[in-house]
Amino acid sequence: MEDAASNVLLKLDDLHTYFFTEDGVVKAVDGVTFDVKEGEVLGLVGESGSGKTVTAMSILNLIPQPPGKIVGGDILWKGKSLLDLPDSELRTIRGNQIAVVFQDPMTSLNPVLTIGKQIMEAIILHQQVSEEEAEDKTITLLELVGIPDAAKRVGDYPWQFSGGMRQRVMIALALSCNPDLLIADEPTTALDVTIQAQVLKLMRELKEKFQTSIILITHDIGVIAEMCDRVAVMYAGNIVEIADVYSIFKNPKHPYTVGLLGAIPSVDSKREEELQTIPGSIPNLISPPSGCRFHPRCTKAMPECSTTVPATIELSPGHHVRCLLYDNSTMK
Amino acid sequence: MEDSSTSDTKKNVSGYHDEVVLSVRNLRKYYPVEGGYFFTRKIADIKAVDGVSFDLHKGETLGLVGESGCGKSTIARTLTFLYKPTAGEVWFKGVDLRTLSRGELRANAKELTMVFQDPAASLDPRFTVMQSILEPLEIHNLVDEREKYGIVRDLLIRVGLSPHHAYRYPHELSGGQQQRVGIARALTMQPQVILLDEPVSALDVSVRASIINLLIQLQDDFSFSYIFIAHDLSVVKKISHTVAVMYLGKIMEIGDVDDVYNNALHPYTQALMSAIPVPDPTVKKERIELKGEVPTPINPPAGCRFCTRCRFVRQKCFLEEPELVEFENNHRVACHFAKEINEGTHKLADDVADEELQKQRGLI
Repeated sequence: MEDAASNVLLKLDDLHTYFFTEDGVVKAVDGVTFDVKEGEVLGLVGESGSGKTVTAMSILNLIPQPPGKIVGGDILWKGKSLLDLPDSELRTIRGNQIAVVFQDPMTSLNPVLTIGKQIMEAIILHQQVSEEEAEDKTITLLELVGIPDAAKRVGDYPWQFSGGMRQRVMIALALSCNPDLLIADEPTTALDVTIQAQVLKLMRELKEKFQTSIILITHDIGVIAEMCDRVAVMYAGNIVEIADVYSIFKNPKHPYTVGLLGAIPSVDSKREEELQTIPGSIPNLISPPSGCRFHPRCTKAMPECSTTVPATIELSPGHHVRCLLYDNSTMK
Repeated sequence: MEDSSTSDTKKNVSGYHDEVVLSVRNLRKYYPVEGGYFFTRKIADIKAVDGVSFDLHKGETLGLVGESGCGKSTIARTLTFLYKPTAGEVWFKGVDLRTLSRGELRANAKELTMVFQDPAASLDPRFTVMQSILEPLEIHNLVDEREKYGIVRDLLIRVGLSPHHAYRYPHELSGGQQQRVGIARALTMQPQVILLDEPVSALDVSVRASIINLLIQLQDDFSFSYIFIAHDLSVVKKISHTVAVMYLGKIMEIGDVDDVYNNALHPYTQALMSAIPVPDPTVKKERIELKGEVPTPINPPAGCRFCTRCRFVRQKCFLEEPELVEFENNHRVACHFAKEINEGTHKLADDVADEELQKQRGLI
């Protein structure tokens, strides 16, 4: 991918993250390349086990080690490799410049500390401020994410908040150090639709206000359509297609993307119309299928799909697909 | 299973039969909240389901939607008598289930079965698929040794698995396959009503589609009645004939699926529908944002339960509880001002210059 003139914040270059288990090597992320530009929302979509979360964890170097290990590729943050950095320097980037919001806000907050304490802790750790200043800042942040009566609620414990409010606290925590990049891993999956709408609106507003870039990981295609500028579709540890959100929805190229979009019931679809399905199930990543990893489930598979690993091809500017159907170098 | 059911009554325009299979009247389920220092005693009730009535017809899917804590799952569990209802009537094929003894209820359980959300947790890990599927038959002493394998084979084929899966254990199956076994197990007793509690929520998109197709196919073939509970509103739309929208233990609106989705009458339904994310980046939907949180079911608001968050609220809503009344053909709504809201003549509460009302809204 060309960096072009636009300001690339993060670049993943052929990243490989493997897990070395007793049963064998799980190739969870196997050659992932993408970049995130300033002020952009990049959606990472795929089914469970496609490597979305492992990709995000690799960026933050939060892969449990062992069994996990980044075995190849590079992660460039503002042009500098994160993989070579010593822990101490990494820590100043993590939380400070790159923040993360996880799916389940209950398990990611410390249950025995008030939320005020937890946010202040992050602020004091990363910024040279006094305790009073940190507390003021905490209250401002909680107001910013829409927690009513913030000055009073800083003294509350996580269990005293509802799910939606907890997720707002998590976002406040993530924003406490004005990060340049926010990684949101299924931030609304555990929430009800009306609360989800509130949280998504909040994230959109924050992006507009602070020009924060966001990597949004989700399996909800509706959320992707609503939030993202660009979308990367992952399957079995690979990115199979990446393009701007309009191209992905209006002109999907990879058979997996097409299948995924056809499999979601839209609110307008009739009961009589059968939903499209993708036959089979996701492969075991210890011994993934040869060639294209999607070929056993692909309706358009050709003989060479089982033998040739497809290269990533740029179909139109910014629209990349990893499929032999579009590769002119292989004979059809 | 033989094709027995489709012939007796004709389907009506809505796509199901006129015969009522299950009739629920004023169902209530309260959970006690216990407290006290030396002796635990009941100090309050969580009113999880508080006066719910509906009819379920043969071959009909009733979708139950609403946010967490609205009482959807409690309804399913109360109908199968996993929990005993606090009050109300459950009529199943002309018998009030509340009057039945334990033994009779158990016999009844054959015809009212349930499929749960997490397929892995609802199958016994030490049972093969065959044992799991046959267990209900064994409990009811209905197994004929010679027919055992045939029954299992037919069921597996019916739910889209192959006969060799009979000897597998749950951990050897994928999530979608496990849920198919869960469905096969619910079908074993040839039930009339199947309660599906978030049956596809734990599954991936591509697998989910195939399970939804399977459920629709089975219903078309055997005229089962479904009560389908899910928080994904698009999935409910796809599978349901009738939809009931619940809020804090009550039905706020119920009607044919197209009416509820395309012509929502209740302000809560309108907000809920507007919150569904659309899988199309060119569509920019206008959202009705709900302020605040769902109140606690221990002490729900007097008057209309939605009054604390409603953008059309009036004084009357704080005082009087609206009844679920028919608005148009088969479409019922519990809102004092449904007609005015629908005609567009009802102003937003923000635009009403009524000091009392604004004070009341501020107090809550």
